[in-house]
Amino acid sequence: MRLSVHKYHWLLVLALSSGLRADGPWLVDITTDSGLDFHHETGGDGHLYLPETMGAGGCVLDFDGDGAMDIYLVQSGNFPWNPEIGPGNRLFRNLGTGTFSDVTEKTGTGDRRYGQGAVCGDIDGDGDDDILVNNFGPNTYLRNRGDGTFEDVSGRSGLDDPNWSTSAALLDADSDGDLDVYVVNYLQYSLATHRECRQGQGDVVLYCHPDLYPAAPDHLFANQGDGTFRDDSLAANLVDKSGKGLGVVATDIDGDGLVDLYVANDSTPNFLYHNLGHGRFEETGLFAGVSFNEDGRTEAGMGVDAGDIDGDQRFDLFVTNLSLESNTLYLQGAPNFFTDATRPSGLQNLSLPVLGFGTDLLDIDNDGDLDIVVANGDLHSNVQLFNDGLSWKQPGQIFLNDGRGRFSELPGADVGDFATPRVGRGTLTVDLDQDGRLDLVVSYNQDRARAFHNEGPDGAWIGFRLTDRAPNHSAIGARITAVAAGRSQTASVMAGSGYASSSDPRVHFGLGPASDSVDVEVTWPDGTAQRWKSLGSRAYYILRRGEAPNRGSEPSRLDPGQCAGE
Amino acid sequence: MTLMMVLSATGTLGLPLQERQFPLLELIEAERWSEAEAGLRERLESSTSGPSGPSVEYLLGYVLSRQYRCAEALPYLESAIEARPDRPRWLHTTASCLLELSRCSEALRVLDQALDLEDLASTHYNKATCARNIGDTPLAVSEFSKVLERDPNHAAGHFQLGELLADSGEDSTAEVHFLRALALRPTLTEAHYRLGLLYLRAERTDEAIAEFKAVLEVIPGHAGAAYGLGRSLANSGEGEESRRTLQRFQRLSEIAEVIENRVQYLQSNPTDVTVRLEVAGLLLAAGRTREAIPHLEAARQLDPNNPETRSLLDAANERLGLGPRSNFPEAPDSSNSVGVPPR
Repeated sequence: MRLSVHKYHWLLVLALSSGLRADGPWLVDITTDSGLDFHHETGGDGHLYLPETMGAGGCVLDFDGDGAMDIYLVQSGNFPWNPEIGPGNRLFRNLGTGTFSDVTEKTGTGDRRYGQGAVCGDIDGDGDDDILVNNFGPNTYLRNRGDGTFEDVSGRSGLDDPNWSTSAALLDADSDGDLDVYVVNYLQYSLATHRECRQGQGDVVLYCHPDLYPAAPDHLFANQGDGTFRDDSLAANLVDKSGKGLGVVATDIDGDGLVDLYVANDSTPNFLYHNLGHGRFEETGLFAGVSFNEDGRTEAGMGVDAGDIDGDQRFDLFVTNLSLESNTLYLQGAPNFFTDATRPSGLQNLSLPVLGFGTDLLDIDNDGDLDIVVANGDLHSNVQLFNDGLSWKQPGQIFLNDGRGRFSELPGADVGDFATPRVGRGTLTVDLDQDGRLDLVVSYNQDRARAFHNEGPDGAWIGFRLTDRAPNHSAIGARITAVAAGRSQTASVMAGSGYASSSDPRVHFGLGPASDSVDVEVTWPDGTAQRWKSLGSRAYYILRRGEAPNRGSEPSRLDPGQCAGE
Repeated sequence: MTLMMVLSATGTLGLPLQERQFPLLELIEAERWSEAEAGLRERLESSTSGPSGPSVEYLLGYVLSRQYRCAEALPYLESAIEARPDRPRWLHTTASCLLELSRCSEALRVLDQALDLEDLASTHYNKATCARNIGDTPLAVSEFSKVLERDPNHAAGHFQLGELLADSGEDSTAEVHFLRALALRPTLTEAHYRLGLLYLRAERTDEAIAEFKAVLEVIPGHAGAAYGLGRSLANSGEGEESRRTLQRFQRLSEIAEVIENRVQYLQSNPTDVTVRLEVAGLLLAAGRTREAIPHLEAARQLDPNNPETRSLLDAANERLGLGPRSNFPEAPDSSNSVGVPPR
């Protein structure tokens, strides 16, 4: 890993741009200074084609292996899709100096299909991060050659699912050591089946409700280890007849050592696919209590994330929904038995006037528990014409956890620029400057993507990037428990969460006032556990499988501010 | 004291008018709305100025509002309260119409005017309902609390305050209000349901099961209660019964798709009263009472005299503890039942 001569440049830039406002807004818009120059286009020409409303997301990756997190943003473009003139997706290399460089052309990542979302990770197991783009139409698989360029291997890989895809997750579904791909599909929709919808008998034209179109089934693509993938949905018992999927998260939800799947569906029941082992799944959402809300109603699921909200070391689930529905928090009690805790958590009323899309569970104030960010934005630019309580552009929200799973909304003035009303879609949680405070990159529909630097409370923290043996180099699916001052926190390595996005592949824990000494246990994807003791806080560590624990060998440490230069 | 005596004693309207209005007031008391409306319109056309004007306008507005024609009533009511802003009952009736037309922000202003003149539980109740409708939970909680300070036996007030508190995570206080609401009005099915949810969250499983069963006895198609019962049974280790109950819930939920299709149809055909009532009936059968009410109110606006609409609306309100026609204020005493203010 190269050391940067510009290691303090980030701080300088931020000091100039924000005046080091320790007591000011938490999320400061650094988009212009950062060079993250991306404007989402829908190609809307007034026909109100439904795919226009759903873009877009993106993903966080370290495509060049320099330790600084790069950003890939998905473009929608022209509808109907025209490959000749679409503006295309963009890859921004994090220079580690407070600026991004647009390396799209150099890397060959400017795919021009009608994009919706993306997931990043080492899909082919060769040691570098690849990109899978979810499109309206065939998906795009961009394989990292390892030399700073990518090649489009969509067709020959078998990952070119032709459906309307929105989100995807990487997981080792069959426990064979390599990463498989779960692709979430939304509706069976085409120009031929497009319909015009109106509000009442008046002149107000609006995007049609998804109920008017049949669901498109999700697919599991099994990695065959040779660069190709096979649709294994039926063999895995992942039979999706009705789900209108928008969000997905893959992690070992019930702690039995196997990676499960949870899918947020729009106006149809959400799916919890419990991994039975040997590559077989069972849909258990109804009995687990996560298909419906507390009232037994389906909701318009958009984004989803998993994490331990209430500190009981069990993973809970959070789903963003339509306005006039609440977002929904499911707390896991006994394994695979959830309670809809939206009302007692205080979240019920906070999201009723907004339509939530992108979301992440993250410790935004480094106080030792998971908070929630949600990017909001309606589907209809004219929503106020038929519902005067709603608006198209909506503020982003931050919900702060009191440590016991009860939330309060951070006032807009404290949130900062993220609270400016826009049409929010994908959220990427990423520590852009490695200062241990998690930043946000947010993709907005028909607007410029924004980078928000976290200048909130500066509590203690610790972060990890895991390195496993091939082919799952980045240990996706591994579980990490950090213990500081007698307090345990558990998280997992995931690729794919929120809405149409995947976030920073590193695992981050806020420690609050906890001591400098942190003990860590990693359960690798194959179930073997490894411990490290007495790690110092305020640092990122690279934890490699096979390093002997407790024998004085320190894992690789990446100091805050240490970034690679050009 | 009868209405005529009130008017006569107060002399509010002046003798010549009074003599001519007495038959109209009798018609109003007898709820013979059409005849009263015709008479008031005739009266208004013959004399729109002078001291009698505002009273006649108010009475016409009131009569129209009682026929669920608030859009028509409102200009008369607004004109009346502009001329006589010192009449709390007039203000109250105007606010009720604004509330019915979902113009809550305006209704809140009028209710505040009314409260400056007369501090009534019913005014606070309407204010709380407005606040709830526009999502102002703190104001709604405050106003429902004022309702209960003034009328501790207000079942609907207890129930709605309980709902707001439960939605804010204040389960223990909510429970007290739900129980009180049920003690006052045992037919308040939704209070049983909300108690069931609350007990399920608190893992008071046996109590949750009892509450959900109480709901299902009255509304066998209540999908939410079937879901809650299935979850509660699973929590208590009754795996097989839980599975059966959740399968029952799934069957009940299938009706949701039918409802969604009908609602989609209504988006393009909002004036189809028959389908509105069908949707409302399906929602009521599924226990989705709050969602049924807007459809019923829309149907009432379209066809004010439809007896099915009234019957369904009364049933819906009863379940929520609102009572029939509850969005109109109850008169504080029988002598003032059409809202003519006492001197």
